[in-house]
Amino acid sequence: MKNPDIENTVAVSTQAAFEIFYRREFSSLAVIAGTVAASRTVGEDSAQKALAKANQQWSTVAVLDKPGAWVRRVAINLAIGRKQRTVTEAKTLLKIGPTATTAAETRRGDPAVWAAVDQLAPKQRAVVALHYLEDRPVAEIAEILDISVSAATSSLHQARANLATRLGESHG
Amino acid sequence: MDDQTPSNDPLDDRLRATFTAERDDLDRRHLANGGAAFGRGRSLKWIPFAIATAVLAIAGFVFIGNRSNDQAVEVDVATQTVDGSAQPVLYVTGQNMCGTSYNSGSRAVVGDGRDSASALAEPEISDQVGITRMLEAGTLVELAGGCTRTQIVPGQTQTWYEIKGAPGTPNEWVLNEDLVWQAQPEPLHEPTVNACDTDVPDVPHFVWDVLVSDLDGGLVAHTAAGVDEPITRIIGFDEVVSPTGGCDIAANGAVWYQLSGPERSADWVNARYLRAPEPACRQAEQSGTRARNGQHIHEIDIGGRLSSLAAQYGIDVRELLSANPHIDPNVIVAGDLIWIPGLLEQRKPANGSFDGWGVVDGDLVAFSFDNTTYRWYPTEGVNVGTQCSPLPGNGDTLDARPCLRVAAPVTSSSSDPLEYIRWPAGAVSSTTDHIHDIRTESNETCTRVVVTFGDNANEEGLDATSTTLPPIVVNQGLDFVRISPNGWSLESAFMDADRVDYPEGIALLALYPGYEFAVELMHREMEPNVHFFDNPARVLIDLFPLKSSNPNTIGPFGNTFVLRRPIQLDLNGPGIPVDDEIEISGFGRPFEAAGLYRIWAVADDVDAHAILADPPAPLIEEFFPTAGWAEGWGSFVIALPDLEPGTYIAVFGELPPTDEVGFYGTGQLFRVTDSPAEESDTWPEAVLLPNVQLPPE
Repeated sequence: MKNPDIENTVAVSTQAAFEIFYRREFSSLAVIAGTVAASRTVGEDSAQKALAKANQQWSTVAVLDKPGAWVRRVAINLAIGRKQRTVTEAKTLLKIGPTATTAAETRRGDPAVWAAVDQLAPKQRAVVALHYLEDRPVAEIAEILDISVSAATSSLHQARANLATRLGESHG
Repeated sequence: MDDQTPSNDPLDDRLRATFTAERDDLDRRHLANGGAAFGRGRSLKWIPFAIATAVLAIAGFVFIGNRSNDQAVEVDVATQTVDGSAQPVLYVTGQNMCGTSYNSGSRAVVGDGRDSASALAEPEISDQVGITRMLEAGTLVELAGGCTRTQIVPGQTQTWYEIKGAPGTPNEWVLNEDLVWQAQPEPLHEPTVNACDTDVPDVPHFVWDVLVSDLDGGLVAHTAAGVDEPITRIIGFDEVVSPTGGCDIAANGAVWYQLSGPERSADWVNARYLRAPEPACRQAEQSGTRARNGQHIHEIDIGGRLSSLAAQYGIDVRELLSANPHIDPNVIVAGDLIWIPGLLEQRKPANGSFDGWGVVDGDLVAFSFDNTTYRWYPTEGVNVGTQCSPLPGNGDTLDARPCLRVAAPVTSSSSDPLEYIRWPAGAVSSTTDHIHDIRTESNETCTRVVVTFGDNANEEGLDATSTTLPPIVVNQGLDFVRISPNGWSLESAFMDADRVDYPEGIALLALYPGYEFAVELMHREMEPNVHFFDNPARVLIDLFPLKSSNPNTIGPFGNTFVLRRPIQLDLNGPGIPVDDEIEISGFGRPFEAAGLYRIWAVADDVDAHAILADPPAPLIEEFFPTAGWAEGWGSFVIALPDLEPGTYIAVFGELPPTDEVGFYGTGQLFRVTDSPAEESDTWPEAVLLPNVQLPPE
């Protein structure tokens, strides 16, 4: 009475959908969250946690209009929370003494860009990452961050201005 | 591409190149690690494996146990494929493996609102295969005793019940959601033994305090008190059970209750995992310390040590061991029950007063305070109005602060001057309300409020008509009641990371100033450090009288335990002098009180609201200092920069992880003046500007 083929298809397709989602989203999530937290390690951790939440609630998340937006919002929120705990930890570490930066923590690309991005406010970092990593328009950024379009526009504009100043570039 | 960001801009190119390089590198590293979900050892597959393991264990027991009784038991094995590998999903014909309580022979009908329901030869991961017949709505079916659960994805299970097949055909299985039960378990009122000193309350109890991480999956029932095996069933969190009145004391001192089981059988569970929703304020119910034969029993918590326990009660460890010969001092585990010798005699009445009292670990305690800490000691066994003694041999200020237990507020149905609960007029109670039931009951010492959440008590269940959670308002005078949540409400919600953390729950308790409390809905994703109740769930709040002449020393949580203060916009309040400091106080959550505050200077002619809509760079942006914060509440001092008189300063605490999502917590406006410093003694009320996005309710 059991049809293994049909059964397997049903089971695998559900799990496979999440696997595909995971593979597709992880790296971008890690970069976005890592940008917000100014830490690749925190970014990867936040991405993992966000995807774990997605897995736990996959039946709900999978049917969202934009599961990618949801998981980004979660990852960013996790990164922000983690960042603030990291600040406390960092202050403690400063009291202990300097520590070497691990290779895994070293971010790729232009170090000056990262240094400038790290100086931005967390929201601006999130906006910048979503815009320049994924070419998302401000309307989508606003939706992900659950802020108004005008606030997203303003943040992006201010972020570009700050980055231009710090990087010695002109901005339009 | 957004039109506000010019393309082919060198800055844009640098940014895109850097972000892309970072992502590409992560992609490479990720693929090098296999690219599998949670490939860094953080497997989520433990959930089905654990369930399968538990089910296997249960099935094995059932088989062996029944074989010894020469009863034929069919053990069938189905498989489902998860991530490419077959995993067992076991069910046993005629055996209830769900932990639910029902009798074979109970009847149910195929539920309303469905044209038909599928009956299957065996539980399946999909109800579209193995269908043996379709049951029309209204079809009466007879339950055959079997129950099992299947899991399609982690966290999502389906419950299947075995029904008797059509005449001459094998039994079948149907989903629980297709059934409307017509018969309930028949209680068994024939207790076999009551070796306890107290009677078991003859009311339904519910299971609580079951860890979600518990591989058993719930409360394990046994054939006798205090035994590990045999197991009779697993009872899930929040399931209602019916004690028979039977009670026994296990070898380790734990209290066990006898329950009505399936088929009019009876089994036993550790009573600490059960709660009766009423009557009011049953002290030390099921957990914490309790009295027996005039002695106290203390249940060891996780990480508990004999030395700390002895210090807590002011006695010697050797004395403790002498009174507890069943305890191996080298192997102390959570749940061990320790008899506290001579405790009551050491708490003789004395003169004086105390600062407050409430419940800790289920025990009624009195509090004394110094400037930074509070101390407590048990008062159980002390009659209402009796004064308590200081701790023996304790040389600190507690010796000078005996306690006094006072009478509880008196309520009556006709003229209750206290009006504990104000249920909004016209509110309709249903199982889908956020709060579908509030009950309150008082006895001579306290009032218990039982709040039951409905099915919609989470954000996913919100709809347009139910987004406003009605406040539960406790009205009373300033000096007689403080809310003293028992061990399950606030402690679980805020403080204990391991007790209740159910993935689908989303409600917690908030206390407002003026002794109001409310239940709030919160975004799970925004509150990673808050632990949520299951949905639906019950929350118990005990109200106790308070006698204290010092309004600043009230209870362990203080009298300003608050999530959000009432909001009033008042830009004309007293200002702060130039070159002065301001003190920001409020509630920071989560409890480490980490958060970001920002200060903007707002000129007179600028709409302060507009600043929030499009905030410029703040004058000051810093993280909250954690020093000075306790239990989420605290204050800190900010030294202001030079500002022109007349300037408004807006201060907002932004608490993680909602930093950029909304402003809440403290939102205060101050006006810089050139007045002398004495005005700083009167700060304006905390305000939160309109149009500021509050956390969703």
